[in-house]
Amino acid sequence: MSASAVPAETPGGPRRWLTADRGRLINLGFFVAFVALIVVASTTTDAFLTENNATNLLRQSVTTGLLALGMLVVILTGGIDLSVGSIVALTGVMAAGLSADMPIALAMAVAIGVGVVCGAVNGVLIARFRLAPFVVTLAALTTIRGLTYVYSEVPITPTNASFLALGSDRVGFVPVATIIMLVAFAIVWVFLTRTTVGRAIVAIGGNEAAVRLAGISVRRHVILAYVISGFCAGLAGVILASRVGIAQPSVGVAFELNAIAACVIGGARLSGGKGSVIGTLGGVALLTLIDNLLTLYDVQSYWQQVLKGLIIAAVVLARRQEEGR
Amino acid sequence: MRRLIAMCIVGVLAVTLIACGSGDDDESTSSQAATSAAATAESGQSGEKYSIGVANFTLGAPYFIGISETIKAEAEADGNEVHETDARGDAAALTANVDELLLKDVDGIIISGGPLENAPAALNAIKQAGIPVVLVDRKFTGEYTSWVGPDNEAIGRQDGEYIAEHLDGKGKVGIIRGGPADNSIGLARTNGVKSVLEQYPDIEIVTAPDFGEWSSDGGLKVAESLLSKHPDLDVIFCENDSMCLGAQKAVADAGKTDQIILAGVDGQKEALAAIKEGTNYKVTGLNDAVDMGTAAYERLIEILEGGTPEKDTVVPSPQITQENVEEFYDPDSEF
Repeated sequence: MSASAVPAETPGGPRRWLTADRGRLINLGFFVAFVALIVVASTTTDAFLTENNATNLLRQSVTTGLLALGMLVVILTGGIDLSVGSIVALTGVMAAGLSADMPIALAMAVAIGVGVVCGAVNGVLIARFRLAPFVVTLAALTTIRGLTYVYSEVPITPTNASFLALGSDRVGFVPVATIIMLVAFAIVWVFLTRTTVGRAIVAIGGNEAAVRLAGISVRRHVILAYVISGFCAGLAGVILASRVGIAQPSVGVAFELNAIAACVIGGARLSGGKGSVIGTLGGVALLTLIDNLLTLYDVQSYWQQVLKGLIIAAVVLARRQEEGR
Repeated sequence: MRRLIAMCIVGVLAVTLIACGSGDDDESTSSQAATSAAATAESGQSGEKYSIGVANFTLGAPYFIGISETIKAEAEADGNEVHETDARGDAAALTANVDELLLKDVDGIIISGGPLENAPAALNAIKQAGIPVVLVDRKFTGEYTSWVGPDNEAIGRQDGEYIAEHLDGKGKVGIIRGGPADNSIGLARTNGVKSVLEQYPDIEIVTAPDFGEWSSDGGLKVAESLLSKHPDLDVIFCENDSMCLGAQKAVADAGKTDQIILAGVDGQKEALAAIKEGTNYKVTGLNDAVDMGTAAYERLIEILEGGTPEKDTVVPSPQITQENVEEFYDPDSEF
């Protein structure tokens, strides 16, 4: 799993095997904990193991899932994208706002395009002008949030009821939005592990100088990573607005934290070069499951925040052991 | 080996989480029972017990906490079961919470929608489940069973009338707005004030360009910049009392306490104290969390008992000045 995107710095031989084995042990542990959680949940509350709740879980995972996916690509380059929550808000209100004057599909496409532009600006500032990703995307966080309010101070309710289709339609008990998310995960997995460009993105985080020496344009690949993150955030924003049926300019505050947490839980290293698409999906599932269970068990809101934080810390602690010390 | 230990920590946490879940529930039930013993619940309920969901958009402000706590206390006094959720200001989480409440087969849901305008997906889900939904404070534009809440524009008009009378139809009024996170409530209050003041050609209105973000420190900051640009103000109106208390401090710091009066909204304890002491804080409009929570709870029970109350009910928001402040001031109040 986490070994799927570990080129560059692990030279091979027995040590590499050992690292992979450790990773496997950890992942097995996570899997066991996950199954245990589900078993306990389904035996203690009737509401958990129902088709409706399964649909809920699948649907709730979409926003964090898409954001984490884009975030993973950026983290692999050794960067970070703090602006995704604001992009969710901007693209959501734009899709809802534009849908009044144009076909819904076009409005959504334009909004996602705006997300791509946001990502491209981040990428150019970071790669071309060599600014720190943390600072650039932090500036973008506030700039894009401001632009969202400039576009609409108040939440926008789309008048056309079919605006809600993307977020509420399902195939069986599986929401269409979840299928879109899973397809996105599949595409990115293929991209990162089977294409030259994708592998180069992973390699940049592992050893940027080596990639440069190999004659690969680091700049272009880093920009692409932020564009992918912007696209994912735009898609998440549009789906979210459609799911809720109202686009709220204040939505998405601190969404980036959930996305980062999902990547890290999934085994990504914030300094870059290491991270797994499947692991990230697992991280997203865990976070969604925690939220769902805490609510089903009537845990008081403030305790929910405390427990969620502790769980993330515990998982990251376990991951740290995996780093091999 | 250490990895396994770390794994165990995760596992233990996961189990604790669940144990905590049920444990916390018990605890809150007992503490609520204690509070509710004091509360008098006269909802005229028949023998049947109900399960009620309270979906909060945010519990990040005393007013919304007050509403939710009141509903919980009242329900438990009647022996009804309550499930409370907090979406932390996220409309998607509110929608998910409503789904989760429906999974628990609640008999009815109260939504405290905070600054949200609408939640179509959540309202659709409740409609499909065929149970009633009562909105408290915020009236959504979508389909709902019943709504109880304040008339924010009327509260604004009350302040406007007081200001117009105080100025005798001539002067300069500064307006401090709360901000986008709660915008339409604030807009309604400001529009109420303006609708009165604009009838007087000699009253000039200046609106601060930046938001006070509903807090005292925000109100202080915005009032400082407003005063440096418009030192000749006669009145400052703020969209809530918290900001107005901050603005009062800014006015005092600028040495303009005798020149400028303050008008707020909410009936916050500290504002009432300032009004009572005869400071330049002159007027506010009561927007009481306990009144709102009680009205919402009683409305839902009435519907569950088969009653057909009116659809929309405005909970009155009396104007509070030095003349009647004693009726409303309670130093032990939570808000």
